[in-house]
Amino acid sequence: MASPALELDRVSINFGGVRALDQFSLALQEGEIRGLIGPNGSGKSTAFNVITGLNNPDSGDVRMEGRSILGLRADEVAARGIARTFQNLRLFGAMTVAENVMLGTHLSRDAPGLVPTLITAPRFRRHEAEMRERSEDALKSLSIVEYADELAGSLPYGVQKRVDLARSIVARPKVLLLDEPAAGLTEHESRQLMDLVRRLHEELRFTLLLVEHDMHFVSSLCPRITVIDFGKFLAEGAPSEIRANDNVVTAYLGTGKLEGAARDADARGSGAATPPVVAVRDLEVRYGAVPALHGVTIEAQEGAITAIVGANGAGKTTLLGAIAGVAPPWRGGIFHRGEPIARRSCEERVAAGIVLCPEGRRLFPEMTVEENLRLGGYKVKDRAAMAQALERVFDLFPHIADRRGQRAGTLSGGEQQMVAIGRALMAKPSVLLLDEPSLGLAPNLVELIFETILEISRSGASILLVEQNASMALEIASRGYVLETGRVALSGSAAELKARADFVEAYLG
Amino acid sequence: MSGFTVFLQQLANGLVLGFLYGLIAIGLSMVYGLLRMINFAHGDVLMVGVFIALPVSWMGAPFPIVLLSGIAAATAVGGLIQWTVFRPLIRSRDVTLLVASLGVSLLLQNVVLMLTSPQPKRPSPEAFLDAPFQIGGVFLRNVDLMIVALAIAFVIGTHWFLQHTRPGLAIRALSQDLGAARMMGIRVPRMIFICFLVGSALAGVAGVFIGYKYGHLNPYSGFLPGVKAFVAAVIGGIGSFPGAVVGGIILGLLEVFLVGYLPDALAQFRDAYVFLVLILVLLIRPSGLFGRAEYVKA
Amino acid sequence: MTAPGTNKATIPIALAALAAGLWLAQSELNAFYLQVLGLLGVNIILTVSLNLAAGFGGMFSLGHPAFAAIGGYTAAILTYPAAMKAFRVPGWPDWLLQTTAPFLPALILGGIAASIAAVLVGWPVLRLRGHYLAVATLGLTVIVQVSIVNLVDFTRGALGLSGIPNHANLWWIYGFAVITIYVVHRLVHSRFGRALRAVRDDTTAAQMSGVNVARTRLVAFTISAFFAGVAGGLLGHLLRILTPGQFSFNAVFLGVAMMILGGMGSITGSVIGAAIMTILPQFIIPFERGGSFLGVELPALHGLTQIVTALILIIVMLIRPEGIAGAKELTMRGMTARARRPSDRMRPKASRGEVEAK
Repeated sequence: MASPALELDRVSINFGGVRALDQFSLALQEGEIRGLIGPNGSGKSTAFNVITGLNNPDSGDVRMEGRSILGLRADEVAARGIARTFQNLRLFGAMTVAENVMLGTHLSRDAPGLVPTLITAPRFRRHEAEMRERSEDALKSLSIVEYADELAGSLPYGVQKRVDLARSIVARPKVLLLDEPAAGLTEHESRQLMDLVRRLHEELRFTLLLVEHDMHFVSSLCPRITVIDFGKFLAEGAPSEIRANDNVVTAYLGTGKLEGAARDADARGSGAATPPVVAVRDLEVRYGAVPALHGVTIEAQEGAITAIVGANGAGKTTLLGAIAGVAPPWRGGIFHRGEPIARRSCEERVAAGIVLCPEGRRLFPEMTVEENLRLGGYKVKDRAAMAQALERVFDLFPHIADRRGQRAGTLSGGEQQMVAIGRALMAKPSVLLLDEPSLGLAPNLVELIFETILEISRSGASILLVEQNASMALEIASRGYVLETGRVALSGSAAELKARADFVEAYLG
Repeated sequence: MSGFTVFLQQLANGLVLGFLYGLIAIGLSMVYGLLRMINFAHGDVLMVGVFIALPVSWMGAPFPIVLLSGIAAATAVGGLIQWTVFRPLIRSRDVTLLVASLGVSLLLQNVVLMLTSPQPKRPSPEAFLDAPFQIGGVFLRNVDLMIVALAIAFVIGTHWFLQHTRPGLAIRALSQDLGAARMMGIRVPRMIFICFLVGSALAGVAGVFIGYKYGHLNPYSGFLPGVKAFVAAVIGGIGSFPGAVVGGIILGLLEVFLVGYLPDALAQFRDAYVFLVLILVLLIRPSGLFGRAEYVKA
Repeated sequence: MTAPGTNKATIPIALAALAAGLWLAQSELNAFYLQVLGLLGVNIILTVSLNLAAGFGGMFSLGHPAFAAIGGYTAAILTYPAAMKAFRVPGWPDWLLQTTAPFLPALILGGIAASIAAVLVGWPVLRLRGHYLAVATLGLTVIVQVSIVNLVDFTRGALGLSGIPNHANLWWIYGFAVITIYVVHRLVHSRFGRALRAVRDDTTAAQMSGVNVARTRLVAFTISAFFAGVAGGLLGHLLRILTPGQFSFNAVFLGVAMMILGGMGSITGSVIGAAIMTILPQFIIPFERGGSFLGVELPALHGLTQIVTALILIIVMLIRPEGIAGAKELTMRGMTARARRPSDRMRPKASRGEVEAK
């Protein structure tokens, strides 16, 4: 049998104590289309970065057609015939579309050196014309040739995505890595993109590895799918097999066992008559040209847990960021107890009791646990009140009380998450925004974190909870919203949502 | 003098110079840690501080008053340029901040030049500071002791401020993760302003002492020490508080020892060595002694 | 290929107009105006070459005065009359003291000497993120400055190297200005230039397209230094004297001002920036000496030129940090088109320290 076109062989890599890839293996045969899926933070992007030479693994090997490409610089990897696109568009905005795509031909073999370039030798002219032609061909095959001389940064998002694709295929790579190609596209655009990718593959016969959260996209494009979770290989097979695999469903939705939680949530769910503590109306948020939320409307009830769930890139983090005041809204309103706060600064919202516990924890790594907590209570000026708040956090997390003098960066993932939640609690929030509190944690810790969230809720705070672990989130929440590509796809009481059949589909296509 | 005494003498001179660099480097390092900005105007803030302290000294004011006036002037100028020029640019590209700081530097130098003259100046002699003494064959003046003692006091004071006060805590948080600091409700622009004030005050201290120790002040006297102090901050690890102080001392010692032990013909290249050291550090350990690296993998 | 917005006839016509203008200037203008015009040409070369490194390559150099000094002194020592060399700069070996090189090879060798310095500084520093390059190249300016002052036997030190032959007339200067502009334009609009601009904007994405980041940067930096060196050579043979003061910090500030005023990443902008910053001081310098102006008695205002330069630096950064031309080239067609097109600067500025886009 021929060597695989691309092979990851038991690759492991650590980032500051977190095992991003753990003995992960993957082999692609020549011409294959493979989907790589996994929950947020499971190691997909790291796998891409290891292949393209941006990260050096601690152990394991990466081979292309049997030859190791480990330790090569990214440009040397590209020279071997591996091209990639980026999840967050990385076009050169100040260059024209044609120039962007021509950059993709940088490694073409007969490129003129400096001297022919400087004297504008016939060879230089011929090569430039040829590259221009090749680029236009690539643009034509993606039906965007009319934008060739526009600045790439000024184009609509969907077109920029295609430019990125054109740049990656113009040099006819042997292996193409696509990182979330459908992210941020409308359903119509993403269907078109799917056809394009399929056609390009038939034409150019590259080996394709695709990371994508849109399961529908992956399922219809890839005959085989590999699932990664916690940096480890989880499953591999045809899309139908993957969908039926219990481990995969659990990895995506989590398990839903938390004693007494449902009863709790129901008891608090009756408060629908009171005005919402936080309301978001028709909210639109953009990052540059990239739309993240389009017209999202949600309400959170006083004293309740409101779950916001959805696949990677659905806009959950952006929604919380907008409520906390770190992601400026493009249009739409945000209200706190009926008062508009969309124009308030972040620190004013913290002072009003709206506190964000951000995704990825964002602790101050060089500072001690206690200093991190004190920073959470930055707005608390009274010493006694501060001491009291510290006491409360240490009561809630006795485990970190012993480590109050330790630098936060040296804690384990679970401990860091406790500090992050504790830090948010220090501000005595009336509205606590929790972004992926269970991300990357082992199952027993996940349970502990969820129990703590319930306890915080019982003490009276209103909670907006963004979670990958949807089952568990809905278990403790009274109401839930499912976001899909920046829109509210489903909403209802938590119990209702869980019972709906299309809920799982929103995740797994 | 025996070889060992010469060595001790150089050591003492190097330490004094090193503490001065350290005082200047703290402000540069803090600002870089916060904004990724090389503040080329920092040395000129120092110079303005001395040039306001000078007439105070000529009027016969005692040393503490001269020192306080220098600190006050440097702090005021540092705060003023932050508020008028740098604050509106906080969100721009870092090259914009860099160019703006070059502009401020040039402006301060030449406004002072226009208002005074290019002739070198020095503060009126202070009998107490100039009084010489000798320990173990090493000749020093009181001003040297004063520099080391006060520099240590100010370093400890600043360290205490950063470690044990609310704004200090906020500034440290800011330099690690500006976005997360904002989520804590920290008023970021105000903290950056405080940072400039503290850094400028320390530069003011260094400035007044440079005046008393070396004299010979002109409107350009601040720029080069400012840039050298940045080199010191890079040696120590940019963004690190202990790094700035230790880097300053290392640079001061290196400069004095190189000049002292190289043959005369080579000793004249004093300023050049500082930058050769910088290039060497960037080549061998770009993150400095206490810093984290910022690499392009290439 | 030509830049968008020019047609085939534009360039010959512009060159002919330049030639006619130079011919007229050479025959009609007095020595003072000729010198200002010559300085303008030198500054155009300096600014365009600085822009190649900083504007197109993202390598913010404060060492271009040092490159100019290296190129200037190298060329001057080569063309210096052999008869005077032995007692003005006796430190050089005999064979050099006995030769008087022709102008062109001297200029080229000056440029090469500057390039070598660029490689020595650039190689360790260009790998690093952040603006270490700015400090390291400022250091080069200091090193060169200190060396010129102290290596008296080789440079005549602070006295300055006077009596350099006046080879550099307007034809030489503007000839090289045209070559510099052509070379930078050609480089920027080629495979190499695309790679260079890509590295400036997004190092990682550029690498993924196969660009060797370190080499691309170093090559651009070296070429940039070459032209700065040539500019130094022309300056020496225009003014007939070189002193360390010509390459001091003020030269650093002036170079940055010329570039950012015109616009980083715009060749035409650099020409405009150089023109403004060369001509403007001619009106300011009289005030520096003091005296009576329009019946008002003014004291000598030392440093006024620098204050104006400083204010330009600050105000441009506050009001229009992209400079006059931005990163675009000013063309006749572009000017008329811009008037018609609505502004595309509506999007909110991306800010540092915000949460990352998901």
